[in-house]
Amino acid sequence: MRFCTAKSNARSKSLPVNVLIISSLVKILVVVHGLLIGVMAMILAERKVSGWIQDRHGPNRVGPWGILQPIADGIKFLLKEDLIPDHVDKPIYVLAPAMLLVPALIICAVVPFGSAITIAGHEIPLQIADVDIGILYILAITSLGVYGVVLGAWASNNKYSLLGGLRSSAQMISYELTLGLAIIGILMLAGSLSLRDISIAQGPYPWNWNFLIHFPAFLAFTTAAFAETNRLPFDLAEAEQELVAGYHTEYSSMKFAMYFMAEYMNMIVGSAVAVTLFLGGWHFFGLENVGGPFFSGLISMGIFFVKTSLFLFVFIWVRWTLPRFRYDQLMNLGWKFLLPVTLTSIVVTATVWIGTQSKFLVGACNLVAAFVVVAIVASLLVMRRQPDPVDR
Amino acid sequence: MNAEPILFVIFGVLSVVGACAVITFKNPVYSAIALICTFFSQAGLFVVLGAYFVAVVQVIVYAGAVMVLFLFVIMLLNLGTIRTARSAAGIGRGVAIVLGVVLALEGIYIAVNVTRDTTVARVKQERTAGAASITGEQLKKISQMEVDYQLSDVEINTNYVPKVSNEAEKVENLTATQAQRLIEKLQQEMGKTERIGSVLFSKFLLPFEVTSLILLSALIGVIVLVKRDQPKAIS
Repeated sequence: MRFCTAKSNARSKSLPVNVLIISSLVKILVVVHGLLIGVMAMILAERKVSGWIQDRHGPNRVGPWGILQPIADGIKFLLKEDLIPDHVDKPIYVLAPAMLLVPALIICAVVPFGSAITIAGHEIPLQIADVDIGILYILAITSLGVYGVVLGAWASNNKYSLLGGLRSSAQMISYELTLGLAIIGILMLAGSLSLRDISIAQGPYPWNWNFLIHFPAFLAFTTAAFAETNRLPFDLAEAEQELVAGYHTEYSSMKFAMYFMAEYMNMIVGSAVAVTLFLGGWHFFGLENVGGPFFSGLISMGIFFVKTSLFLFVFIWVRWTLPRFRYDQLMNLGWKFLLPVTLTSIVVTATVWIGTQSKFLVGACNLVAAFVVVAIVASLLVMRRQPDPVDR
Repeated sequence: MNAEPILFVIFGVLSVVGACAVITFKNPVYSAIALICTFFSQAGLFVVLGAYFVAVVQVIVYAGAVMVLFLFVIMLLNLGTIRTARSAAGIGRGVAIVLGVVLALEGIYIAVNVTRDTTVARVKQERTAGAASITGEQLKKISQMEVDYQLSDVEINTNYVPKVSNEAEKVENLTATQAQRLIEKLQQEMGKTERIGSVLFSKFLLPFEVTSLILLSALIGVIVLVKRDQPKAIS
C-alpha cells in the first residue's frame, strides 16, 4: 500500500555532464557564500534585535544603522593575536572548530533552496544534490557536530571547558533522538526521504503544510534544533555565569571566531531544514509559479530566504526572552517529555492516516494525543517528586 | 567512464590507513578519531556499492553514536598516553606470526579467485554473446529476485524493462546482455530505503523484532545496574 507520493519530476530528467558540473559548481559557490553572508547578517541581527527587545538601539556607530558592524567584528578577529596555549593538545585544539563548522556546511548540500531555474533550455534544480536519503543524511551529519564540541573541550585541558563540553555533548546526543523521531510522521505522509519530495508534497497552501498537520512534532523539532545548536534556553555549554565560557574558554581570535561562525551556521542550516520540512519549503500560495521558468526559480529562492529569516528571528527572539534551563530540567524535557510525544505522534499519524486518508484528522489527533501524553508524564513526575525540605 | 575502481581505491586506502592509525597512535583519543575516519571510509565504500541506506545508517550509528560513547569513556577514564610500546615475546610472537601468514594466504586466495564465478566474469561472458536471447539461468535469477525483493511481474515489466531496452515489452523478450543489465539494475535498486523497509517488515520480521527486544533488554539492564538508590525523603 502506498502513502501519498510526490516524486519530483526534476529528478528523472538528467542534465548533460558539462551542464551538471558547471551548475553544481555555481550552486556550491552560491550556497557557501550565502551561508557566510548569512552569518554576517546574523551577527548584526542578533545584536540589533536583542537591543530592541531590551529597549535600546543595537550597534549603530560603525556604519549607517550599524551595517558595517560584522565587518568590524571580522577585522577584530583577524587582527587579534591567535595564540595556542602551551597546555593544550595542539592537533585536536586546532581541528575542533573545523569539526563543528564543516558539518554545518555539508548539510546545505541537500537542502532545496528553490524550485528550479531554466537557463539556456536546461532545467536546473535549485539544490546541490538531490539524494534519495536526504533526511537520513542530515541526521547523520548532525550527529557529527558533537565531536567539535567534545574534542574542543577535551583538548583545552581545562576543567571548566571539559565540564561544559561534556554537558553540551550529552545534551546534543539526547536531542538528536527527538530530532530524528519528529520527522518520521512527515516521512510517512510524504512517502519519500528526499527533501525535494517532502517540499513538493506540502503544496502551496499553508493549511497543508506540515507544521499544522504535525504540530507537536514541529514543536519538538524546533526545541531539538535549539538544543542541537546550543542556543538559549539550552546554552548550558556556554553558560557565562557558571562556566566562564564553557567549551570555548581557551579559544581566542580566529578559532573562537570559527566556533562563533559555526554556531550561527548551524542555526541557519537548522532553520533552512525546518522550513523545508515543516513550513512548505519554497511554496507560498502559488507565488512561486509566477513569471517565466527563470523568474519563478528566483522568486522561489526569495520565498525560501524570507521564511528562513523569519525562523532565525524566532531563534533570536527566544534567546533574549526565555531564561536558561537547569541541566536536569533539560534532560527531563528531552527524555521524558519530547521523546514520548514524538513516539505517540508516529503511532497516531500512522493509525489515523491508514484509517482515514485525511490530513485534518491526522493533525487533530496528533494534538489531542500530545496533550494526553504530556498530561500523563507531568502527573507522573509530580507524583514522584520528593517533598521539599521546607514543608514539614 | 567508470568511477567505481577509483572511488574504491580511495575509500579502501583511507579505511586501511585509518585502521592502522588506530593501533599505532599512542594517544587513545587520536585512535578514536582515526576510527571515525575508518567508519567514514566504509560508509563511502557502501555508497560506491549502491547501498545508500546502509551507508547513512553506518554514519549515524557508528560514527555518530558509538564513537561518541567511546570518546566519553576515554575522557572520563583519563587514560593518558601509552609511554612505551611493549612488544610481545616468546610464544605470543610465534602465534602472531603464524596467524599473520594464514591471513595473508587467505587474502591472496580471495584476490586470485575473485573474478571466477561472480557477476564480473558473467558480464564479460555475456557481452561477447551478442544478441542471444535470455538464458534460463537468468530467468530463474530474475524470478528469485522477484520473490526476495517483493516485486511483481507487472512492476518489473513497467518500471525496469523499459530502462534496459525500448522494444522488449516483457522480461522473456530480452536478450542476454539486456537481461544482465536488468539484473544489475534490480540489484542496484535494492539499496533504496523503500525496498529495505518492505523486506525488513515482511520476510525478516522475526529477526527484526528479536533484535529490538535484545536492544531493549540491554537498555533496561544498563539502567538497572547503574541506578543508585534515591536518598530517603526527610521525614
